[in-house]
Amino acid sequence: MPSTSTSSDAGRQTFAGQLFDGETAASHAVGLTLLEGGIEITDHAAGKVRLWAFSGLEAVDPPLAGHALRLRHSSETGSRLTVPAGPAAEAVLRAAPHLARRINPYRLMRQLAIVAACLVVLAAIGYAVLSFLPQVAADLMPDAWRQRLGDSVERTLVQSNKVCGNAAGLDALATLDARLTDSIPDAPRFSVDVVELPVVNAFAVPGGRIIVSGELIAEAKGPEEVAGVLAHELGHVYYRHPEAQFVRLMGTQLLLTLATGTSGGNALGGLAGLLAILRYSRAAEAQADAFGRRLMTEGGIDPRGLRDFFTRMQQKSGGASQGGILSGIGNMLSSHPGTAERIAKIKPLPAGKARMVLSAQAFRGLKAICR
Amino acid sequence: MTAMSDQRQEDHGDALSIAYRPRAGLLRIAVVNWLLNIVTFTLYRFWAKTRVRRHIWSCVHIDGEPLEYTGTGEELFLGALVVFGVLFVPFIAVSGLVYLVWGPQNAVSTGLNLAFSLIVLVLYGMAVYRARRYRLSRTLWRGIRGTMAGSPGRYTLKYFAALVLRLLTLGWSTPAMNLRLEDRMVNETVFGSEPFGFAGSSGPLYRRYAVCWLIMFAILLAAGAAVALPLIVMSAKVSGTLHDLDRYGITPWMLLLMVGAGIAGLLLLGLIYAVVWAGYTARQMNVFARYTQFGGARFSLAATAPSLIWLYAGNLLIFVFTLGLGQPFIAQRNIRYFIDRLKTEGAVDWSAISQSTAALDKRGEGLADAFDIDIF
Repeated sequence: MPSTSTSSDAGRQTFAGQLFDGETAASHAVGLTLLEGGIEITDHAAGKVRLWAFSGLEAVDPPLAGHALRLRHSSETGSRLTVPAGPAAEAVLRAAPHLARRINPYRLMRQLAIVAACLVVLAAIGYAVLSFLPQVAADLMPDAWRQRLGDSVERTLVQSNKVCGNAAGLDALATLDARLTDSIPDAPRFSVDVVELPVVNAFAVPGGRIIVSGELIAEAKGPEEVAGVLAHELGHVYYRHPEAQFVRLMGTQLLLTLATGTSGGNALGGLAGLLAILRYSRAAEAQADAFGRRLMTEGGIDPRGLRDFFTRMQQKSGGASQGGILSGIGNMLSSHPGTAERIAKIKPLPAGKARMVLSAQAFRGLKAICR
Repeated sequence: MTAMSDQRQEDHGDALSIAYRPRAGLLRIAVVNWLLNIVTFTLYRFWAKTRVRRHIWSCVHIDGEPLEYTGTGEELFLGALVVFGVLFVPFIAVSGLVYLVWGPQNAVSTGLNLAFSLIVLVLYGMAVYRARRYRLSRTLWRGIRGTMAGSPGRYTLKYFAALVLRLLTLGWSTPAMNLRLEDRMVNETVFGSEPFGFAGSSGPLYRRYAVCWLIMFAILLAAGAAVALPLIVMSAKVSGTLHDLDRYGITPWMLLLMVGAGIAGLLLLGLIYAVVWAGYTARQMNVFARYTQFGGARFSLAATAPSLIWLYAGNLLIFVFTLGLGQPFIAQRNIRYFIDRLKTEGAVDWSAISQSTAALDKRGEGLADAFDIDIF
């Protein structure tokens, strides 16, 4: 801001500096006089005098002892003033101490606000993507998509392991499947495959498929135990938990990409990723348990089978925390109150309500399904 | 211009001087950035980068006056946000849908992935060009800013063509194409009203290129033989899947060891690659500097292969042993390497250079951030 005030009174300190006017790259030698409220800059060659008030003055770089001081002013954003190191720079810093402040509080607050806002937005999106949105998407998913998703998940899970298909076993399984839902009008469509997996476990995968390991069948002491496990898995199918988990995983990948700026690899492939996916939240497990209990009550399937099975699995060593039916039942979490609660919630049927699940012969057939 | 640079000019008749004068404060920036990056899941990186640039720019002195970086973290952040919104989010959403509709292994998703890779490759040149334009427009010296005066589209096409040619010619087009790309880049660089100039042929690059290429070829051949021969011998003995390996006395530990050796071998090959090509890189830097001119000033650079390898090695060690905290110092080393070896001849009539009238980019370098291009 050009000013007409008289320059360099006697007694006032005057220094030499350089001014760059932002119009050309030429350097203008100027005289600097420190006045009450600002710096008076006199360009003798151009015959021009300007006053930079201290209030609008900013240091271009943080001032350092031994370095020239570089200044700009809010009234002339394109111009730069260089005050040589030594007495001149020191005098200016004494007159305008705010220049030496290393942190600009306004800028810092602004930065922090932006980063905080981003984190809040990210957290909000993250919460939506990870909590309720996947379930909404899963409920809207057309059946054809669920089937294709189920195909690929089942392929990854089964890999080169044998799918058991002994004729008598398949017959027994079909009988069991029909028996499970015969008294539930809104039961979802589903199918069961027994696969020779090296674990005692059962999984619900997208598209209404349930995969039961051959070892679980071998471990079962009665048809009610297998029926109880299937009833629980049917709960997952009913609520479309596997589909929701898949959407959740994709959302997670999207979020990671957004936050870190890298593509983050394809987490959808691979068995390790799959098993992580098939581990549901406690709320989902509780939902599936409740559905299983309803199914057993209405179908007259003795729930003590499932209870005995859980109890046996809990005592059994070696089965570390797993996904699938045994979520929270493995060794690692056996002291977890959730497990005891889960088992305690399984109540026997009123006397005389239980109906047969499978004949002894059919159950023998089922036990031999992998042979 | 040459006639003018002979006579002494009003402020700087001497040869243009360029020097790096380090300032205190980089360590503090490095520590704060590192911590904030962790706390914010790297979201702070845009502001972190800006702080480092502001510091490093302020250490580069031209004719005694430092550069000033005026970019902001917000601009970088918005640039990245736009790129993710326009490029990455639609891709991830579409590939998610494709996965749901057609399953994981199908022609559509393969085609989609290929198309996306192609788009990224094509856009790479765009990212390089726009990042440079953004940085120049945010670089002030004596209050005057720079810019790129050409069109990013043409450079993008040229860049992609160079990439394809490089593959087709097994690398032999590299010197010629690098020269043409640099020619575009430098000739379109403007400081204020004054353009940079670049002229010269790729002839002086080819001898060194041939030497490096042949050395690398011989090493690759030897490495290939060293890996392939045992595999061939093994596959003659072993046939079947991984499950059968134990039948042939190959334990999982041995397998793990072999995989480990493979990874170590690849890393070693990467190091060898950098060392071998340092010879060419140094040569190219020197030649490009010699071809460059600004106002009345000409440049010469004294990069050498050993010093370049020392630079790489130091950078690698700093990065590894400071867990990334030393990144700003790596950036500083890179720029110092260049400036400390740069010599200038001739002067520039600064008073004849007026402020750039080019419009400023509103956002910064989104593509470059997404593709992880920049060094600092």
